[in-house]
Amino acid sequence: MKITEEDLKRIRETLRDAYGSGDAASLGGAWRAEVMDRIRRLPSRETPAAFGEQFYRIAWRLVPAACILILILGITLFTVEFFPEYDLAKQFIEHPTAYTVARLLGIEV
Amino acid sequence: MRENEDAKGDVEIVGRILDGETDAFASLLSKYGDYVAGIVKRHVPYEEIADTAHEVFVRAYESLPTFKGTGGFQPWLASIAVRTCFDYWRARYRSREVPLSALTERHREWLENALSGEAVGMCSENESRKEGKEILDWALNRLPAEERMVLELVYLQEYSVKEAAALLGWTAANVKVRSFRARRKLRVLLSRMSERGERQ
Repeated sequence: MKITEEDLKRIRETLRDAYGSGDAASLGGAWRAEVMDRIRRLPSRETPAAFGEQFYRIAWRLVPAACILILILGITLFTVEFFPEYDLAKQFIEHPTAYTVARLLGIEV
Repeated sequence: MRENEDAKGDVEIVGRILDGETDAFASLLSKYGDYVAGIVKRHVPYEEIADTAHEVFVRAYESLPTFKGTGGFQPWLASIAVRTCFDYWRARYRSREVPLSALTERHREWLENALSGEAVGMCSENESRKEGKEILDWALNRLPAEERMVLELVYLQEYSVKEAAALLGWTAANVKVRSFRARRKLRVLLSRMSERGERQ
């Protein structure tokens, strides 16, 4: 027998009556004591989290970003051609003063 | 007038709890314990009422800083209770712990009587109500958690779409769509049961 939308409307009251049946639910004193006990054991809202805990929480949030950055840098280093000797010679020819100052300051260029 | 005073009292208690007086929560627990149990009873199996109501109050306590006090504490708590029941079913469906009970010839007869109008009188008897409840449980256990909740709130508890949306924290359009789907599925399930006297 196919049940239509009209049928469903018709039996709604009967189903509601059955749905609402059953014993009344009442929670006793033991249940209340158990809930209060758990609530008292919850971490206090006023206690700020320890510095270490806060640091780790932030640090772990940055992990995905750091991984992506490392990946991008790795790919860039592999794809971009990098010749230190060539750059050094170019610096010496194009900016001899900067090259000399750098040498004087002890910077290995 | 009395309700207004009650609401003011609740807001004051919430303020005390937020100021660090945790034990003040016990008065809210005494006042609304049975109210929450009444809501939870309609949505979860009887043996799960105490645990689910426990979870409702823990969540309510944790969410107290978000309580604005404008709509009153009771509707705010009702919303947490309904959402906790919804989460209960989501967890049960995820772990595939939903009991799929079998129906008998008696259940099929009950449905046929209901459709012919005879069951309205029959339903005053406890036995008949029990059968009706078993049919409903059988059908509800075959619906997704979302549709189950919407069907219970809108079709069986006669909340308006707007009220159900507020309780669940969804949009009214979402409730409307899910309500339509849930009713269609309920029709299909009951039709199948009526046609074949499905046994599992």
